[in-house]
Amino acid sequence: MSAPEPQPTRLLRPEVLAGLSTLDLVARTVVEGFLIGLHRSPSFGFSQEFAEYRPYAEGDDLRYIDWNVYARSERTYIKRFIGETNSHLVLLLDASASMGYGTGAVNKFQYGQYLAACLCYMASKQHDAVGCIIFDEEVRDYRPPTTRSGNLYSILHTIDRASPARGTNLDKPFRHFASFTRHRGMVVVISDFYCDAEEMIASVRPLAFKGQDIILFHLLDPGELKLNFSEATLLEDLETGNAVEVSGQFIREGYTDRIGQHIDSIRKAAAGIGADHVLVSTAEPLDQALRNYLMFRQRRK
Amino acid sequence: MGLLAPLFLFGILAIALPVWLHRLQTQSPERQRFSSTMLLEQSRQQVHLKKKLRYLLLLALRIALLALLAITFAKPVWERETAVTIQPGSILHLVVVDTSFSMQYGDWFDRARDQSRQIIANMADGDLAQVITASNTIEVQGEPSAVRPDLAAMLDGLQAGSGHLDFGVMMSGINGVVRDYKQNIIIHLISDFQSSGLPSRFADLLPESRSNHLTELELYPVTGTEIRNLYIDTIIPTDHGLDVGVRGNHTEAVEITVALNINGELLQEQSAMLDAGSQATLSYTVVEYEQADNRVEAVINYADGLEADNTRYAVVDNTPPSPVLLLTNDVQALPVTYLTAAVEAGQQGYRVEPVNINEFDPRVLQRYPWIMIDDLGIISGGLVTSLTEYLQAGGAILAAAGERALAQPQLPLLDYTVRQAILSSAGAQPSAVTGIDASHPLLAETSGWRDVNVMRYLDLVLDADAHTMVSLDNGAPLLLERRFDQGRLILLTSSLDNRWNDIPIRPVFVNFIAEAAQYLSGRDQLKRNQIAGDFMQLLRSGTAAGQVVAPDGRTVLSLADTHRSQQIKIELTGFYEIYTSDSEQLIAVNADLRESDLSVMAAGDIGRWKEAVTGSAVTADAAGEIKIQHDPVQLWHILLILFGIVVLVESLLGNTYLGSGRGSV
Repeated sequence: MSAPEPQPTRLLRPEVLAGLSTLDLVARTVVEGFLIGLHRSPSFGFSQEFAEYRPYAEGDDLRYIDWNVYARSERTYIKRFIGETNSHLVLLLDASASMGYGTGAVNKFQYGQYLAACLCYMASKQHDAVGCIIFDEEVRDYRPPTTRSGNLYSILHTIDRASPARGTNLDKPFRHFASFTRHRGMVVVISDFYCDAEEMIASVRPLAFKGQDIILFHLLDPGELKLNFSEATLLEDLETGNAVEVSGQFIREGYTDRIGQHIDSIRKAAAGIGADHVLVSTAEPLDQALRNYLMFRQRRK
Repeated sequence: MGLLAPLFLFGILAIALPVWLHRLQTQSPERQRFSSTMLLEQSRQQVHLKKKLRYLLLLALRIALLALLAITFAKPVWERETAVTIQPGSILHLVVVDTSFSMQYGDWFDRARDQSRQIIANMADGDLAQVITASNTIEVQGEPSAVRPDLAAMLDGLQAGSGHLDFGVMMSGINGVVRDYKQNIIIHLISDFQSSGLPSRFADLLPESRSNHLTELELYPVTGTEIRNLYIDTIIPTDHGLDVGVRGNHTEAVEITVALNINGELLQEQSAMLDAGSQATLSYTVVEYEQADNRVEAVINYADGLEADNTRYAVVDNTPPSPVLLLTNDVQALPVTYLTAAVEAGQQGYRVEPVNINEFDPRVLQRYPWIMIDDLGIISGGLVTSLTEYLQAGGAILAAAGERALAQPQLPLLDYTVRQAILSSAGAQPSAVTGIDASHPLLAETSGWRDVNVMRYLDLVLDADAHTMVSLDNGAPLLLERRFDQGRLILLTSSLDNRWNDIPIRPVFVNFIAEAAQYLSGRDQLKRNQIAGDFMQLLRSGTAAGQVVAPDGRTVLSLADTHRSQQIKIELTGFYEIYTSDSEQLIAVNADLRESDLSVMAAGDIGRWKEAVTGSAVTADAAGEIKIQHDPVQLWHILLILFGIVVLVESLLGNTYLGSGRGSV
C-alpha cells in the first residue's frame, strides 16, 4: 500500500514567501499561481468577458455603444463586460504593534502585507481602482483608489514600507475613509481585531450604510488561537506594555474559550451589518483568503 | 560591641551582586511578549506573589550569607561585663618605654624619660614599678621595685636604639611578662606611636585579660606638632655607579646636598631641590671600586630632627671570584661543563679552573680551599697521597663516580669496596631518591632531590666514618660525606654527566653546588646589607676562627666564641667587619626605613586603643572590692557557626526551588 500523494500546494507557504525579496514579487508569485489553479473551476474567473447588453441611458459613455447592434436594430445598446462591474477596492491594513506578533516564520503584519499586496495585484489585473489605508491609532498612510498606471507599485510600496507600532483604533481610519469616498465599492479590512466588537461595528456601520461592501480578514497567529505556554507565565502586551500573569489552567482551558467567543462576536457583529468575516491563520497559505475574496466579489455583482 | 578589623565591612558591598542577579532572574525568564492581553485573565496572582516571596527569602539568605562573611572578617567583639573581685595588694606599674630608632628624633626620648619619671613619682605608696624597653624585642630592665631613686637611675641609663617597634609584637611580649604576675597591673606605654608600628590586626594591640586581676593600659604620646625629617632610603648599584634615593615628610620645598663617600673618601656631592613631600633620586658615577668589599656612605647635609637617618650605609662587593680546581681527564667533558656552569652561576664568586689530571701538579693544592673531581676513578698513584694529605690538612673535595671508577674494585681515596655497579639498561625503571638527611647543612636549603632519576651508580660498602646524606630506594647511598680529620669529602656515587642520571639537568643541581661550595669552603655567605635588629648567622667549620668588629670598634665575640657558630644580633647602624682566616667581609647595617617615616597614629586610633582595653579604674584602695571589668569577647566563632547554618539553609532552599520545575534560582 503506497502512501497517499501529497496534495499539490498551489500557493507557497508564508515562510517561503518571507524569503522573496519584494512585495511585488510576492504578489505576482502568489496570484499567478492561484490563477493557474483556478482554470479547473468554472465558478470563478474574471476578465474583460462580455456580460450583457442594456439599453443606452442618458449619461452613458458613447464609446461603449455597440454600433453593430445599432446598425441591425437601430437601437442603441451598451455592451457591458464583467470587468466593468468593478468599481473601487480600498484596503485597510492594521499596522498596530499587536500585528507584529508571530510565532512562526512570518508575523501577522507580514502576512497582512502579503495578503494586501496579492489583493491589490489581483484587483489591478481586473482594472479595479485600488486604494489603501495603513492605520494604527491614527491613519499612517493613505493612497486614494485609482486605476492609473503605476498605482499598483505605489500602493505596494506604501504597504511595504509600513511597520507595526502603537495601538489599534478602527474608528479613525473608517471615518477618514468615509470622508473621501463618493463611490460604492469594496472595502477590505485586514486586522487582528483586538478591539471591542461593538465599537468596531460602530465604526464600520456608516460605511455599510453608504452601500460599501465590506470584508473583514481577521488575522490570527496559531499561537493566539492556542497558547503555547505550559505553565503560568507573565505575558506582556505588545501595544500597551502591560504585563498580565496567567495561570496554567487559564492557558489550557480558559483562553481557548475566550478567543473563540471573541472571534464569534466579531463574526456576528460583521454579519449584523452585512459584512463578510474571514478568519485567517498566518500558518496557512493565502489560498483561502484569496478564494474568499473572489467569492465575495462574485456575490456582490 | 566593636570591630577589630572594620575595613572588612566594605565586603558587605558584595550583597549588590545577589540583588542584581535576583533582579535579573525575576524579570527575564518568565516574561513573554504577547500580541494583546485583552483576552487574558489576571489569574492566580498569588502564584507570582508566592514566587516573589520565595525569591525574597532566598535573596535574604544570600545577603545574610555575604553580610555574615564580611562581619566575621571584621572580627566583632562584644564587651562582656564581668564582676572581678580585686585581690588585695599593690599595683604593678609596667613603664614601657619605646626605644626604637624614631625616638631619636629631637627631644622625644627626653620627653619619654620625663614622662616615665613622672609616672614613677606619682605611683602610690606600696605600688611597684618595672621598666621595660620596647624596640625589636622587649627587654625587662630589672625586677619590679618600689624604690623610686633606683627606678629613676634605671631610666637615666636608657637610650633610643636603632631597632623597629611593632606594637603587635610588643604587646605579645608584654602579655608574656604580665602573665607571670598575680596582681593588678597598669601598663604605661610611652612612645611616639608611629603609624608604621601598627599591626595588621587591631586585636593584636590588646593585652590579655586575666582572671581576678585587672590589666589597664595608659598611653602617653611624646611627639610634637611639627615633624620634619629627610632620609636616604636607597643606595642602588647601577651599571655606571650608584643611585641614591632621598625622601622625607617635609612640608615645604627644601634644597639638599647629598655627599657620597666610598671607602671613607668623598666621591662627589650633589644638590637637589625637593618639593614638599616629594622624593628624588641622585645618580653618581663610580669609575672604579676596590677589589674587595667597598664601604658606601650617602649623607644628606640637612638639619632635621632625626639626624641618624641622614646617613645610609651600603656595601658593594667587588671581590674577585676565588679559583676552584676541577680535576678531570677531559676538560671538554660534559661534567666539566655542568660543574663550571653551576659553580659560576652561584653568588659565592668562584671561578672554575679545569685541569687535566695528567698535567696536574699536586703542589698547588694548598692554594684551593676546596676542589672538585668529576670522576674519582682517575685518581691514582702519588696523587692519592697528596689528596689525602690535603684533606687531612683541612681541605675539602666534591667528587663523583664515573666511567673510570667502574673499572676499579675499590674507590681511590676512600678505599670503599664497590659491591656492585648498578647499570640499568635504557627503558628500565630508574632508581628514585627516598632518603634525605635534611639536618645536614648541605641539604637544609636544597629541595628537589626526590625528582631525580638515577640509572647507574656504584653500590659501595661503607665504613663507620661515612655519613649517607641521600640514599636511593634500595638503600644504596647516592650522596655521602666522609671526614678526614679536619677535611671532608662529599661523594656522589653516580656521575656528573646526564648519562647515568638526570641530576645535572634538574633545578636541584645548581642549588646543591652552591650549597656545597659554601659548605666545603667554610666561608660564610653573609647578607651584605642588613637592618638593625636582625640577626647575623656566622658559620664556623673546622678550626677556622673569626671575629666581628662592630661599627663602634668593639669586638663582638669573646675569644671562645670565635671558634663556634654564632648568631649575632646587629644593634648598631654602620659597618660591621667580619674577619675569618681566609676572608674579610663587611656588612652594612641601617635602621629600618619604617622608623624614618615619622607619621604618627591619629588621636582617634590611640583613643580607640585605650578604650578597647579600659576596665574599671584600678586604685590602691581597691582591695577586696568587686569591680566591673569589660572583657572583649570575640564573636567570630559564633558568626562562623551561623554562617554554616545559613549556607545549609540556602543550599536546601535553592535546591528545592530548582527541583520545583519553576527553576531559575
